[in-house]
Amino acid sequence: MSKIDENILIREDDIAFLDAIVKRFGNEPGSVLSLLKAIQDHYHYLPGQVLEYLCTIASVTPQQIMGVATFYTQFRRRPAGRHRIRVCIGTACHVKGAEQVLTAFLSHLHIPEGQDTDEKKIFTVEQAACLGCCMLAPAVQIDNTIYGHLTAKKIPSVISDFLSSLTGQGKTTQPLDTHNGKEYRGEIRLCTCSSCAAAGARTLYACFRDEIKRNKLNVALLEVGCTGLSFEAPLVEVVLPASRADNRTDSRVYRYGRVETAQVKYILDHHFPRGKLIRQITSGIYSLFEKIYTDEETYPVTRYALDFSRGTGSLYLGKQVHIATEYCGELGVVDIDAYTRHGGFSALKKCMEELKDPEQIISILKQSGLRGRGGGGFPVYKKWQNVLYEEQSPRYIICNGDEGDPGAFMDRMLLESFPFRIIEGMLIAGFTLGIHEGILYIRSEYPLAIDRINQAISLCAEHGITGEHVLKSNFSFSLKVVEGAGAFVCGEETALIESIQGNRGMPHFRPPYPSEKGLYGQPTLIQNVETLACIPWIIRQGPGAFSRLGTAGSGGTKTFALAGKIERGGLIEVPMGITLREIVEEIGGGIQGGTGKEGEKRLKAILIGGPSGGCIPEHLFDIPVDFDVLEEKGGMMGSGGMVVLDTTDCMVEIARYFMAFTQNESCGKCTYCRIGTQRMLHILTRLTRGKGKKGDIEELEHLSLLVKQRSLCGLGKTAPNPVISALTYFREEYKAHIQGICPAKKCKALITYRITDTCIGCTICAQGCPVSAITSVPYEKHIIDSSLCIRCDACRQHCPQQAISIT
Amino acid sequence: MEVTCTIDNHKITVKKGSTILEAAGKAGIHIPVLCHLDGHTPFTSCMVCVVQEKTSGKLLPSCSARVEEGMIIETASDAVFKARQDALNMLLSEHVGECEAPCTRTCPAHPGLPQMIRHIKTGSLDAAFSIIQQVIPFPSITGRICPAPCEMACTRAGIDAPVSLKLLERYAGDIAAGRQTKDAYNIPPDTGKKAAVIGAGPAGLAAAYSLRLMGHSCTLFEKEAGLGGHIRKSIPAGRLPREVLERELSILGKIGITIKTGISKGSDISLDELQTDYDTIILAVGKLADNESFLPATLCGNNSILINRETLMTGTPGIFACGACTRPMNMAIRAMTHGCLAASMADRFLKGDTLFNIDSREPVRKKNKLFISTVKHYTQQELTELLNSASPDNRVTPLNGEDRGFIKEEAERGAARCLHCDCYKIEGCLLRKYSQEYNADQLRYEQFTRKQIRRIADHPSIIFEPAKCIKCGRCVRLTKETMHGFCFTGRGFDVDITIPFDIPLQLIEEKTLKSCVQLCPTGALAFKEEV
Repeated sequence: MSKIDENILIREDDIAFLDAIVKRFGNEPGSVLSLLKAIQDHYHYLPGQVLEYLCTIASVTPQQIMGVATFYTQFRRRPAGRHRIRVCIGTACHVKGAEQVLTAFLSHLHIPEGQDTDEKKIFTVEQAACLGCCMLAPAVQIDNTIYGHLTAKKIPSVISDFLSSLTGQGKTTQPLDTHNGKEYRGEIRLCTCSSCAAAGARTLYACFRDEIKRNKLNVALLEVGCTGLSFEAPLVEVVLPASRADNRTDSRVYRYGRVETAQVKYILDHHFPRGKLIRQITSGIYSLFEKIYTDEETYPVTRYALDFSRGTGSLYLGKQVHIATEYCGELGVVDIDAYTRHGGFSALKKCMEELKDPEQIISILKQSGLRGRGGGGFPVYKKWQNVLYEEQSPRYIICNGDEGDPGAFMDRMLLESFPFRIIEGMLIAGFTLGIHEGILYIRSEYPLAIDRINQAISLCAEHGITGEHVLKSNFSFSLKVVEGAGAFVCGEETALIESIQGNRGMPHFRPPYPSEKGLYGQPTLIQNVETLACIPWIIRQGPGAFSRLGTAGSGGTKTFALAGKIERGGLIEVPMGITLREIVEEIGGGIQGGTGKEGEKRLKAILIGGPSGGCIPEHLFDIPVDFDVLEEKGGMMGSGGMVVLDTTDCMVEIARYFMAFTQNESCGKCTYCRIGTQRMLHILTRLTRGKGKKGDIEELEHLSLLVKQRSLCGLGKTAPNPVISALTYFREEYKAHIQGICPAKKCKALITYRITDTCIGCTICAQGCPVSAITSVPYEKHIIDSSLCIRCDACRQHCPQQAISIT
Repeated sequence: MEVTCTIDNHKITVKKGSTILEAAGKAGIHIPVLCHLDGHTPFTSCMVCVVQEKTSGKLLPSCSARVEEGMIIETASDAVFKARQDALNMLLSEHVGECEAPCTRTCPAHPGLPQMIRHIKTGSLDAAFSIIQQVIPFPSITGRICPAPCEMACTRAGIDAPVSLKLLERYAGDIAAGRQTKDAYNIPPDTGKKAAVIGAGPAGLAAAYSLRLMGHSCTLFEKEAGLGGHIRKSIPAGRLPREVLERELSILGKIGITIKTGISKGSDISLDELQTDYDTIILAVGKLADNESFLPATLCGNNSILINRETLMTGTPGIFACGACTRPMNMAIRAMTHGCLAASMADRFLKGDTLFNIDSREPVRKKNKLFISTVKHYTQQELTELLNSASPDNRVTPLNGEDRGFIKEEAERGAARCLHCDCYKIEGCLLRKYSQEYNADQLRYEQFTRKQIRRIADHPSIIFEPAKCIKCGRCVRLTKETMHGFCFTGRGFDVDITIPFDIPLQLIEEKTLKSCVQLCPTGALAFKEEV
């Protein structure tokens, strides 16, 4: 490494910094990840000489440091610019053109090929596995700001918007307290989770806060758990208490979708009027809404406005059942009192004071039919039993929050919105199984989740929920957060354990399972975030209430991240057994921009379970969502990512995309996963480039089988699933690619852009072409030079006449 | 607590928690492993150690799968063989390196030219001769007359000009010439078997020579007055001085071959008589005349003697044929090699060994064929990397003229140009051993991209070639606790084994480093002194 490094020499302040972090995080091998993170935060990358020096003062070897530093994608080994642009290449962003966005950033910033940082070292452009803002696809994150719905055209304005926002930074947020002991006139509820924040929720929150303060309004402003209505984000709810003068006994809720900061004043004035101006402003608000709702393009890149009053929200929410997401949109996120008032910790109390017997608690889980929500669907009660019957102690519980599917964000939403519920689930497991230490392993891409969980942990400790005497009993329980550093494979439980112990996340053969030999060789229970979030509800409401919701083999509800080519997407929680068609067409509102006319794009398939799952074609959408049914059809519940595809999506290209993802995320340990996935990726890449050969399909099938059956861990065993299912349902498309044809007209090497006779000669396309491949004489039909064309689709997006065809 | 399982029909009882590999070891059943290290926690990377659990049909990595009560394990079923082959094929598609140098591979005789060269470089001329003489009976002859395809294949040719392989072969032959006594050949005690070789052209000479070196008594029949056949007849003395020819051929007499010249086949000897007097006969009669009366019609085909391509045996058991009488031979060395092969087949016949593998009807020879990993094309950067371990000199021209050959200093200089593109662990490489055992195929999986060849050679006696690594992680585990050592870097297919911070190999604790080299299952880590 020192060879590729620039000439950083260790100076005194470097030494002081390193001494300080070693003092803070400890010099044990287990501290390596924390130490490396601190170094990266300080230097923006990992300078070789700093690492070399670290080896001399901490008890870690160069081997361990380098092994870890090169394993996790969060760590950079080359110097970086001042700001990091992270272009999301998650599945939803991928199908909506993330590649074009990435190219546009690189070319706008004049970053030479093969490099990632501009000349002045201001911006570094990286790819992010998934930012979890799938409904805002394609999305990018610049430092801590997320921009959504990008196109190549918007990049210059995104950069300038970001740069201008820098001058306004540094404002500290003050807690809002304006009611002076009087009863609030009402509540403003707003979710500021990462996804909503990407749509501008945090700015909006600050705006509401300032406006309420300025006008001394006696209105509560709550940061609530997410409703999952990402397609309407930022969503504002105004709740007026029942006692108001209009003689209504129930409180009223007004919802506003895609709210802009400019509308804050009007919303407040409308619901919480200050004297005479009411009537005038009330009429003003509607006329304003009408105006902006129709013209999206006149507004800056981050802002959207569409009418929420069409009633789509009720369709979206209609079939949902909230268990893991109970009270979404209602309770303050880190408000422990509100959580307790709404039944929080009563399940824990019930376990500790009424049920007591571990066997009894486990039998409730058994009756509920709860299966692990992380992907595998292993019966939860069995895992608990296995840990219970082990003799060794201490034992540990780990909450697996390493959600890595590049098209899923349920765990992030749950961690950000319902931290106490997850903690309560862990406490119940702890009490039942005699565990006194819990770890929440959360991926580093989720800073807000980490932050909110940490706040919740502190509050629990303050309120005696955790600590030496949980709920004044003799049961002790402590919790801490361990951050991941960017490795999909760490969602695999044996890899996760390695990662917590400060190693490369390389899985090992099971048995022994973690329940027998887990963290530090001790019995360990590992459960996914959503699984834990369901447990308090099951204990409170009884197993029957949960199992009744689902199917015979899969009890309860499941959350999904619904995204892709649909009208309405976001986080949903639905009862098991619901059909895919209900999800896609009723909740999701069907295909985006689809009219159902002949020749128009139609629903094609749904990708379920991300890189470990598969595709289910439209004609099978009437199957129920159930662990076993999905697997039988070649999909997989997986983590719960659902990306809807339309007829313009190419199934070979999608399979290639997933294979590239898994190959890059493979830990590289076992032969079949390391090499087999690479061989598959190359065949798929060849096919998308029009270089397919006879026998490629058979070879893909052969390799799929080997990798599936013989890989060491779940990552490898499931890696071929997208290919296998695509070959089952869309084999013709593969055959066509061998002939050099891409039926979906997606694979760049196999298509040509042409201008049709409907061209009016407006030159807009030529102006938008990044490579000047269009010859344009005004009022004459323009011509695309195919040899220059990079098939970026910019011209087609720009053309007002739909005069650009792909053949 | 104990558990009992059945492995290949042996009932084995082991401590609970034992692995299948441990249980098999207890019963003396060998299972190939590439990544496992005794005494270390199982790593489960190579997947070559798979065995089959009969009840479920599942393939399990034996290094880490535990024995369960009542398990029935098969370690040698077809499925297991195939699965091991699959794993090896995959590993081979990532492994970048040559087992044998192209010069060795190109020559029909498959001589250890690089090893010969390295002996010449260090002045060990006896050793150099003994290497070459194992497969090339008359290096002074072929070192003068051979068209030398080995030089065309030489990796060094990609940089400037090939190593002077032919001149060096001749040098080794000529220098050793003075020392050629019977003792120099290390002939085993007489077997009591009698062999006849008909024809003393290149194939016959080589066949007789080989048979004698295997301890059989041997009679060589030749119709001309002088030995050599085609070599004597058509090569001008300018290229092959007659004294060199006579000197080389005099070896035959020295090692105890009975030579009968001026014997006309048919009139002086008949095949029937020979069959009565000798235990085996090798026909090396040269290109067949139109009306060959010596041979029964059953042996002859269209202008050639009919033989089995693999065993070189004719339709009559015990009668073999080689050289131009079986098919056209374009080079003397090809005919000689054919002769040597016929001799080794005759040797098997004399010992009563089967020439065919009974099970598969596959010829023994094919089965014993060496597995060879190859590199199709070197990049310029890789060639430069290889050049680091060789002399940068231009090709050496003998000062006294090409026909006088090298003097010592020139030979040593010429030898120093060899890039050592053959593997440093030519013996003892487990990957090669198992690849051969499981009939693995390096080209089964398309190699789209491959690792760049690099040589880390800063250590006086150890060399590290990461591109040959199969990521078994043995060295990583062995140096886990040492001050410096190896680690995995990167992910996916791009995983590499590296030494952090480019620390020189020498800083790694010596004893541990040496066991890393010994336990490395490929040539990625090897001792330099291995010839």
